[in-house]
Amino acid sequence: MLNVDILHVEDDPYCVELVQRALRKLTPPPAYLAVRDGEEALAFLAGQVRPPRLLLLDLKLPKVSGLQVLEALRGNQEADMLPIVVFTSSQELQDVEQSYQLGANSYVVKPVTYKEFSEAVQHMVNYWVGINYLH
Amino acid sequence: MRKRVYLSFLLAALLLGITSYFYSRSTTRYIQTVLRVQQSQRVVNQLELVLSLAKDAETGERGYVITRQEQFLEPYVAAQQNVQRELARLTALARPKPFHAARLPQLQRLVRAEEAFLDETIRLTRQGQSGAAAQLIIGGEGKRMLDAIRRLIAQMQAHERQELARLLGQVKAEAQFNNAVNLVGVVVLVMLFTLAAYTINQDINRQQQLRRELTNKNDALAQLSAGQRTLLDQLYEAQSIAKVGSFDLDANGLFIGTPQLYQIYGWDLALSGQRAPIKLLLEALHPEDRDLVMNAVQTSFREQLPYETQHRINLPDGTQRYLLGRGKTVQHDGLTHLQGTVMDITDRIQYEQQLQQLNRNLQVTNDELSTALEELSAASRQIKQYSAELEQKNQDLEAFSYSVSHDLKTPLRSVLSFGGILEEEYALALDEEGRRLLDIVLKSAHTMHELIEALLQFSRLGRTAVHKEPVDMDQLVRVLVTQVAESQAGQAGIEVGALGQAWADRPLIRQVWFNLLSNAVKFSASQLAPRITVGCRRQEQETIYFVADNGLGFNPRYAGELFGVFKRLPSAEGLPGTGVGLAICHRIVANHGGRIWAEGQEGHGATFYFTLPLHP
Repeated sequence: MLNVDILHVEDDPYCVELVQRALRKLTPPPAYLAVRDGEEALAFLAGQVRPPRLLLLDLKLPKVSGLQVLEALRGNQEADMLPIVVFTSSQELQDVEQSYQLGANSYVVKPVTYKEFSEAVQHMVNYWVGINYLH
Repeated sequence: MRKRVYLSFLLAALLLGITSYFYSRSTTRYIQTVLRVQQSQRVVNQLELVLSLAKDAETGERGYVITRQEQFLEPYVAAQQNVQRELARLTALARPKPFHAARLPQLQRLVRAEEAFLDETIRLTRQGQSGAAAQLIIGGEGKRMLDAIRRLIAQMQAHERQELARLLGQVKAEAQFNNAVNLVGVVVLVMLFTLAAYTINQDINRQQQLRRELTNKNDALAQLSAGQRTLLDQLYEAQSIAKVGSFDLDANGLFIGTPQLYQIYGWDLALSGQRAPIKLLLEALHPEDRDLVMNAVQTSFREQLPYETQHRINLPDGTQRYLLGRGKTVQHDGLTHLQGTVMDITDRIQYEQQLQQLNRNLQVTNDELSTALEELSAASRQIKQYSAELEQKNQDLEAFSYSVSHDLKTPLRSVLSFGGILEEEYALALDEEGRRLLDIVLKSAHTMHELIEALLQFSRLGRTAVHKEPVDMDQLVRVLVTQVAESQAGQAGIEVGALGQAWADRPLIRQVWFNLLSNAVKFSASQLAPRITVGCRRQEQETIYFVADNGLGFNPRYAGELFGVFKRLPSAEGLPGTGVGLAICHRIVANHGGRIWAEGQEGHGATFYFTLPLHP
């Protein structure tokens, strides 16, 4: 049984490495797990007694897409309180609207430069996981 | 009736004749009887006269004898002088009657004897022997003689009187018979005349009745005649109004036409109402229609059926008229007549011809229209095909854009991010040349990122609906001018005229202004005194906005290509930009229903115009 603070659903390993690099600078660094697609994410969450504190969700994923994951989780009462941030490179208005409609707590477009990217990740974790620490 | 009157008069005349005959005869007898009465009377009188003369003679004699005076002799002398004459008269009167004829000689003797006696006594007296004379008288001789006369005359008178009485009775009877005859005649006459009068009266009454009826009939006839005149006037008037003329054609080929017929045929109206040869009608016919009309009329005559023709006539003045002829045969005085009408339908035919021409024109127009429609339809099909192709291309573009946004950006982000890590964390491990090369990699990746972003934005515009609202252009542009001036660090003096309100999608139209203003600042930055003018011109249906600068300008040759994606002017080389900004402006303005274009000269600045419709 793993104790995971942040579950990241992301098929791009370079992106995962960039997130890890950004998280390493936080103290204490949160427990971070990356899975490659939606199916793995749902399977992992189903096996967890304690849900993670934050789910970072990419939209364009193999097998089960990010939006399908959102739909599945928001139909499940146990995962109702799980903060989900859609973290994607898509700026399509349609993607933004659908994500919020399906119950995303936030929608963040991946910045392209490393500096902005790591800042974005750190701010998200501080905001969502920090709040969770209070519980 | 009349016979009865004649019979009555005949009977009356007969009766009158018979009556007259009887009357005449009885009257003749009556007159004869009356004459005989007169004669009797005269006889009686004459007897009386004779007796009287005899007495007078004796009286005178006696007076003289007694007085011896001559003067007493006068009656005697007078009687002496007349007695013979009167006796002669008496004889003439009474001789036809046998009774008198038998006694007249005795009377004459007695008278003469008395005369002689008296003469004796007078002579004696004159001789102075009056005694002797008186002796003679006393002797009674004279007296006897006178008495005898007296008796004889009395006898005759008595006879005559008897005769007279008988005659008078006869006269009376005859008169009564006459009267009776008269009365009967009169009564019968009266009856006959009454009958005749009654009959005549009846006849007169009936005649009067007939006369009254005749008068009434005459009056009615007069009224009818007046009515007929009115009707005829009305008929003519009606024909004139209806442009109809009529004629009556007899079997001899003569016709009578109404004034309207003459008017229609253009003939002298004064000749209407007279019989005229049919040749007149036939000659007026248009040569091409002559057979048609003649056949119709002849058939109508032969078959006793109505006919109807539409034909042309030529008027004396050379004009042509269209007529509708109708007719039928009628029997009149044992002869077959053709009664026909002609109606002037020239106006109608001309209208019809005009209508036909119009219809032909319309048909041509219709054909043209239908051809045009077919062409349009073909064009439409082609457009649909193009649209479908375009739609497909758009979908392809969308798919491409979407994949770009993810699939291109992911490796790009890796380049930029890991390049950034390299720059940040391993800068000291690189020499100067290495850092320069890394900088080139990162700048190129940035440029690529910008291009991708621009392309994505442009692609998104194609899929975004335009939400128009009233936009305060003055305020919008004022804010943008400030931003652009700050971001571009431009020195340009930007002059903004009044822009008013527009119907537009605020974020999109802001993008247009931003791009145009950025371009203007960018292209005029190299000028010593950069100057930018912003304004608008309000037209009837739209507002033309413009942004003019005094910058590098462009070759008008390229004016059409400015708004394509990734089209950059040669003069823009070395300037920042992706080559998508004007394409984005073009797309937004087009989606608003407006137009965009540019005017300029190389080195003399450029003016960009765009229009927005005044109404949503």
